[in-house]
Amino acid sequence: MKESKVLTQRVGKYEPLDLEAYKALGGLQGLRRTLAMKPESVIEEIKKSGLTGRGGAGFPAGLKWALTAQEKQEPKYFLCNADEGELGTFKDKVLLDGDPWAVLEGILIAAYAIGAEQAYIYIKGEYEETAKLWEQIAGEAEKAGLLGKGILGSNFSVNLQVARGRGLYIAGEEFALISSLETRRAMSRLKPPYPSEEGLFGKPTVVNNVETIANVPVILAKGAEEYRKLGVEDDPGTRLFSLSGDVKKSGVYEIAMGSGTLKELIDEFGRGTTHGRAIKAVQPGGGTSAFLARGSLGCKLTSKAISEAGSGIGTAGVIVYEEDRSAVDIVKGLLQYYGAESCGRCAPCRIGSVKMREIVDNLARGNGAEADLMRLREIGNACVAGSTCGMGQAFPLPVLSALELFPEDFEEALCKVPA
Amino acid sequence: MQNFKMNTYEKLLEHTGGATRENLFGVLGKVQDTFGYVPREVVRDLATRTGVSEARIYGALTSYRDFKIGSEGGR
Repeated sequence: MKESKVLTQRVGKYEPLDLEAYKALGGLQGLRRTLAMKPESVIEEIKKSGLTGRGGAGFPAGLKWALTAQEKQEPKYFLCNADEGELGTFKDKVLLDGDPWAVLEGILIAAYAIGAEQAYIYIKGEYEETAKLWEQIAGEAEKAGLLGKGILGSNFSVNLQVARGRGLYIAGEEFALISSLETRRAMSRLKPPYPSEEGLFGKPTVVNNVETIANVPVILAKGAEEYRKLGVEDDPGTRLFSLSGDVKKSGVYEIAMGSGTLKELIDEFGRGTTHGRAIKAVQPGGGTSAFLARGSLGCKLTSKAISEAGSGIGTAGVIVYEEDRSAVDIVKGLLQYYGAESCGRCAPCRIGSVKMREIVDNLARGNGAEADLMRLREIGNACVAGSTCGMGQAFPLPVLSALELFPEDFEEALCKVPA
Repeated sequence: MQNFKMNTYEKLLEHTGGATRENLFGVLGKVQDTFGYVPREVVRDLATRTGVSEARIYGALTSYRDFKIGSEGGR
């Protein structure tokens, strides 16, 4: 298995502020081609490419754009979601820091396609240096005629605002992000209406992840057909896998969809597990994805194959756990994080996340009873069924899958002393 | 980080091209980054400028971990 550097082809090859160097490395071709096309044709091209969202939900990007473009309301907004908060995911930072102009080019193409004159990029609060860099990028872009009125001599105008998150995981959720930019508490909302109908300030809005948007200039420069040559039929292109946990060499690796297996990714890029022990479990799609046990590691790196194995590709944040770890401890760590991050909108998530954390804390202390395991399942299922946003629907998945895959760890943690 | 001065804040506003409903979240962020907290005077002023109520601004500020509404350690 080898890397296919498409999105990361320029990372580290130029000084982030140097627009000329970006052009010399083949930049802005996608934008130039875009400005000569009709917005509808741009959307058509993205649809043909089969690009899906890289932020976790995997919604088709072209469809999202088309839904927003067809709305009659004005103005329209484009938001680039750079609030990368999922545990074990750090791929967007590589693009934001290493090839910012490509991300900007993608933002411009998207804004052109949907007819937005105001774009935002919402950068994770912890990425302070990245946010500073982007303030500078926005300034440079304005000087170079890439932002503001009449971009590259066309009659297309767009402005970009750089905003920084303020330390909330949930702000990366589509509607929470919108609320945040409206100076409200970062909270999810009931859908429909979707952001494409009533998004930021009640106007049609597209929210795209950084990696999704970084694909856009590539598609427009090469054409959808050429783009589809990498990856598989129903999952074209490449993905940035953030590999972390118990591996010797963690990092971000760009891999063409379906060109290898999870096991190969861990062995060849991660150089095996930290202490050379066998793998106990892997979360293939960030901290909210279900565990895959050792037996499922032969699955191909495509959304479909990973779903069929019983998890989800999510943000492609692959977290590896060695054999000596107890599932109870892993789950405890995850719940400590997610239990503090619920926005509080939906009762099952607000109360459930805290209750689940309490139960697992109790188990980890050796005070758990058999009934606790059942309660854990019940609350987890209620959260999945009764929450409006992706967080509430997903954070119990690792807990539920751990109960399925590693019941012996939970049995062992139960209190053995008769009451 | 520096002590709060009204004219530093005014310069900051000038630099961002004023405050509107559309960029309020960003302006509050810049105030936080400059002074280490968002002073009451600023909230009052921004509410007048943007038409967003003080209550809603405080509602937002107090819900984010990285916003402070008083200087650390007091004065």
